[in-house]
Amino acid sequence: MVERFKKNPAAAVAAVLIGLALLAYLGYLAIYFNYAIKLFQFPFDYDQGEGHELLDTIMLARGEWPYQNADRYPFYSSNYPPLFHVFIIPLIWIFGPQYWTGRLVAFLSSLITAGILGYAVYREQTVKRWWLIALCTLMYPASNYVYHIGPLLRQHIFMILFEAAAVVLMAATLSNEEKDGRKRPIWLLWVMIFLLIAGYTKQLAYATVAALYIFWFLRDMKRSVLWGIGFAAVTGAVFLAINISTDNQWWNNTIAANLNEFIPAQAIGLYRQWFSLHMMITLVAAGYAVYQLYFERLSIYAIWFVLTAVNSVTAGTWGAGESYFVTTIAASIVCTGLAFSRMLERLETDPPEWVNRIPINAHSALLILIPILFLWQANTVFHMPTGSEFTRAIARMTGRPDVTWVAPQTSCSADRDPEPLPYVDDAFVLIGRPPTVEDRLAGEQIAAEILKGDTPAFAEEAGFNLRVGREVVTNPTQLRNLNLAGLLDKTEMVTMLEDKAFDTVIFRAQFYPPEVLVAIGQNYEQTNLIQMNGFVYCIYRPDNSGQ
Amino acid sequence: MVTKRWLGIGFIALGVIGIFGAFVNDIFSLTDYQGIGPAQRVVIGLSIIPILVGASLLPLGDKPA
Repeated sequence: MVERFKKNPAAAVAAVLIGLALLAYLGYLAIYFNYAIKLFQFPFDYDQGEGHELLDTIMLARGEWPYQNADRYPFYSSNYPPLFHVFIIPLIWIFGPQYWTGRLVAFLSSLITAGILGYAVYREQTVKRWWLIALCTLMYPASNYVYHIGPLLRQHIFMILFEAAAVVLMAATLSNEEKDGRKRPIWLLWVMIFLLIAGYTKQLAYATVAALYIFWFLRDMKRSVLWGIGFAAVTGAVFLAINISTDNQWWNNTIAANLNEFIPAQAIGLYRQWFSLHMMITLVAAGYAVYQLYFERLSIYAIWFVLTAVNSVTAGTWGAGESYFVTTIAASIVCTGLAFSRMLERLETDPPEWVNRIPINAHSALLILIPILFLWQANTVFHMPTGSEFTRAIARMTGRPDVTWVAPQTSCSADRDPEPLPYVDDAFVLIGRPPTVEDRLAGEQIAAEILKGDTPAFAEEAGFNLRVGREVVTNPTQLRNLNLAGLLDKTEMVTMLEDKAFDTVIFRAQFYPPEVLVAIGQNYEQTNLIQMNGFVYCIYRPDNSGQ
Repeated sequence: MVTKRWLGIGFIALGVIGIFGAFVNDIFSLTDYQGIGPAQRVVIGLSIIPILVGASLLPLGDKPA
């Protein structure tokens, strides 16, 4: 090995750079595991909505649909399809309604997805370059967005697992069919099953379904149309069956009330952030797609990248966010791996004429350039807890502060001064920093507030009622959605609040419809403020001063 | 099998539909607003991209898409 490097110093430089790049991405993987393990131990909502997804799982485990009539007590309904929650049910049966069950499923699905993306690069390489496969695999959990949402009890990352599985299996199926001329209907059936699972995990999978069928249509028009009809029929039949068995609440909650307003500034801001964080893989993927468009056949990965990048504009809708870019990130990772593999192979086996005329060894130069680009990409997705001297030193070394100053978020109290957080993230919004012991104690304190009364709390998060074994009341974002869609009758809810039927009200963001907020304001008084995970929770009790 | 030319035609059709879509409200008199509004300008601007891409694909002829 040493002799080889002496003869070819460029190879030695490339090896060192590849080693450094692998080290950087392994570091991100360690940070991801650290965050996930801390989240597994945290028994409350870290991201608002997790508790409601846990409740969906509990209801499904009891054989109930979470698509309820939210006009009536307990004013709860879900707007998410059921499959992520269905997969968690066995864990709920064994371990009870624990947050970590869903977080673990989501986290593992993100790791499997990373493996699938690496496999997509592997199967297209003639000469296997394990370092490049490893870098592409590790890039996925290194993305700030995957890191933020990967270990949360949210269904998004689980959807991407099945999207990636469907796309990679489709690529393998058609490529094998073209090689040996043998049809593989069973493989295609699995592709359809994966797509169906993705779609019934989260509606956003429609973009991947469209990408896959466009690709198939370009390659085999007749078969894509025939299978498409079958797929649409099965998808529609499942939809109809759920809608009938929920007395139309499935339609009301997942479709009719799920069309939120579009906020252009939010979409533009997220596009900018996504691009600046993932610049290298995005530019390489875009270049790969353009190359294929003009010089060869379009691959499923290029179409997947372009279509999902365009569809990410839906991140600008109210309630959406950075997670809407994660499918595009997955596609761009595969495109980047394939582009670099193809370039290296071309330079090794059939270099273009102009390459022989330049004074440097293009292949060696590319071998040095690729890890440098991955190192640059590692720097642009920088995120790291800075609780130790070692990690603070790394943050300082990369020109970043060793803490983030951020004011606690509040919707129901006076603004608070910024506080230093031992976490640095180029995409820091509100999530990403591992929860602390203080956060857990704060959660227990909020839950204890409920026990001071006799009723369930009228709470914006489900976790506190779940913690003390009381019924979960309301899903504020869904009540807001239903209200805006004109599908919510608030009479019973407002009457109960006016009758002071709840001993405790807990606010975090005040997402409830205005009439509900007014009823609370007129009949309840603020008694306590408790800060958890950088948010101020406001506790209210019935106001009996007027009686 | 779809060719690059047909892919180009598909892109052009997409762009034309986009421009047409920008004026749906006006055509069906769903709004009293006169002239081309800011949202319509954005849609028209974005619709020109697939038309240009499609036009550039036409010369590639019968190569597979």
